[in-house]
Amino acid sequence: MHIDYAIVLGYLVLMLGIGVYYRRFAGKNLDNYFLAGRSVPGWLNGVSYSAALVSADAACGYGGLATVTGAFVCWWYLSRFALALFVGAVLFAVFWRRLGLFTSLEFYELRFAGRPAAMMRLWIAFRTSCIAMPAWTGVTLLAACKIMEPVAGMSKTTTLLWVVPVSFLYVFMAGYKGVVISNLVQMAVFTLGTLAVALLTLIHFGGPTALAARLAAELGPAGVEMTRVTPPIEHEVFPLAAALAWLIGQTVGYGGDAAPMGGAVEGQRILSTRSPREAVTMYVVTAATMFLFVLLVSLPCVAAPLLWPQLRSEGFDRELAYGMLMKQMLPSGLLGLAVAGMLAGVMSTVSDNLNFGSQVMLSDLYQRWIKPAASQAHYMAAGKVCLAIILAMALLVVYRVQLLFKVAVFMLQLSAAELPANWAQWWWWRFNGKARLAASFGGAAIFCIVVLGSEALVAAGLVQQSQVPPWWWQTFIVMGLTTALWVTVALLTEPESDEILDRFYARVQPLGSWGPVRRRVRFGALQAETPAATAHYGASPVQTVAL
Amino acid sequence: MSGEWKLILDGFVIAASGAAASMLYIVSASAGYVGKFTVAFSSLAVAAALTVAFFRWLQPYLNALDAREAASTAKAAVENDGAPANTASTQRAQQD
Repeated sequence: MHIDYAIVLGYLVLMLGIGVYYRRFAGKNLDNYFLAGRSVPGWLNGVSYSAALVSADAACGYGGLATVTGAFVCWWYLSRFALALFVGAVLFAVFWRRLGLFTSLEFYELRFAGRPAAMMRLWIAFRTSCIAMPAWTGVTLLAACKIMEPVAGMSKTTTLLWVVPVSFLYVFMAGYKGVVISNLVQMAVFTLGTLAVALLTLIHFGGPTALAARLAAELGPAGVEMTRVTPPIEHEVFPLAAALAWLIGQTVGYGGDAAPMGGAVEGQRILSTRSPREAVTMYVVTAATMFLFVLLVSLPCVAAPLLWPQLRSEGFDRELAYGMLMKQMLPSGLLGLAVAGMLAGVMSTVSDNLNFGSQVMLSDLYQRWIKPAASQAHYMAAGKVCLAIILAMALLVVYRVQLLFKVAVFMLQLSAAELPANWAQWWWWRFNGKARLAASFGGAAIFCIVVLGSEALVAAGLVQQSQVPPWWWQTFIVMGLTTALWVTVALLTEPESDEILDRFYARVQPLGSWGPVRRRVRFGALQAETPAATAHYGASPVQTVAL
Repeated sequence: MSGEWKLILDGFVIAASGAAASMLYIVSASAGYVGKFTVAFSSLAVAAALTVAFFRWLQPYLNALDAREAASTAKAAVENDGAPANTASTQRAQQD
């Protein structure tokens, strides 16, 4: 047991060392502190983004699901993220990076004008820094407690004392550079620890074929179903229709949003890369590594019901499965490594959320609305205060305020309504600020009517539950109605001014329907072009574009 | 279909190939873990082929996006100074 504690302590000291090492670099200016000087290689940002997305809550959540689904649990995350991340990579990463913003939320005041733009930026900034980041951070810390309790018998407070001070200190000192470097170390430790659990579980059951045979022998048809690698058409927890709905529902609109609730730190990852192409690499590496990390924590749990059959019964907390498996499978030494791996997963998510949340709170709330003109030193200090505020709110989630988490989940569901608008703001010049507001707030109203309204009708006994469409059909209905709303609003209201549209087009050259704006920008340029310059290229700029 | 929308459609096809590759490599590992070795190896083979296709298609696609930007950068320079800017991206556009 002493060696386990020594490994965990060694890991924590290493994290603090990284914080101290990058302290001077981070302290130079805001770009260094929040974007690591915009010099991060794409692959490193990709690993870091995976680290932000995968934590102990993945081990609890996906591990628990694997005990009731089986090997096809992988579709739970593949359907949600695979196509979405690659669409973000190929169709949007380059354009976001070209904008060269400090936070992705500045997008709204570039693309739209006046009050709608300011309202959107304020709303997303508030949603991100005051609700989403504290809620997700709190949930991650709660998941850490769920792992550490069965493994080490640690109370909630003891677990937090191991995780929170170190996470806070190295982000406080080293900013985003410290986050990405520590993420790399953390994910290496996480991979080693989780790989050990996966392999030792397999060895315990005598290998893959023996594991499948035991599942079939002890759990019957349910055990055979657990060895499927695609979701069955009929399944109580995860049918094929749910996977397809997620695939479409998560992909439509992905990449075009400034701060999606589920992956708000994405903008920071793109804007801190060295170049637009590195931003593409970031997404590709994220997909490859994140799926591997989730696979490593979910697959071993397929075998867990063989050891604890109660995991598949109603009322038992199946999210304890991964922690129980760690305790059962790992010898001393490896247990310390696995615990350090789990702590690494937790700390990476916590540090990412703190750093990004404080960046948004500082830039899009404090600097934009409260104190627009102050010195760099002032904003550096204010950024660190924001960091402490978000951490304090996250701790409230852990101990008392479950409401914040419920609000965050509710708003994540709400945001599904506006997804198609996220592509429209990039690909359709006619999409304006009022249409954006209609998508974000009108979509929320439509969600409440369709989803909450049908729940109210069931509760009142006016409609039977079986008459209500399943959640995936409700999602498509909400998305369809919201799209009809914002298209109507866009067509019935004035487009953005020529000045706003021309400035945006000239800065990014977005794809899609920008015909009138494109012609105007090109005509302006052609008018200014001299004959000598035309001869120099040997072709008109229009031909050059066609090439 | 205009060239702009064709670029978007091409982007979707390339993204789908990358996504399918990443899905299949995870399916391959999942199948291997529960003893379905035929599924595991065939998924891995298709994943490898799709990975190669993804990267072969991605580079020309990103070059096309760069060329669009280079053309605009050159025009902006002409507009501002009356002479083309001598940047790496405009040189690439010249070569194209």
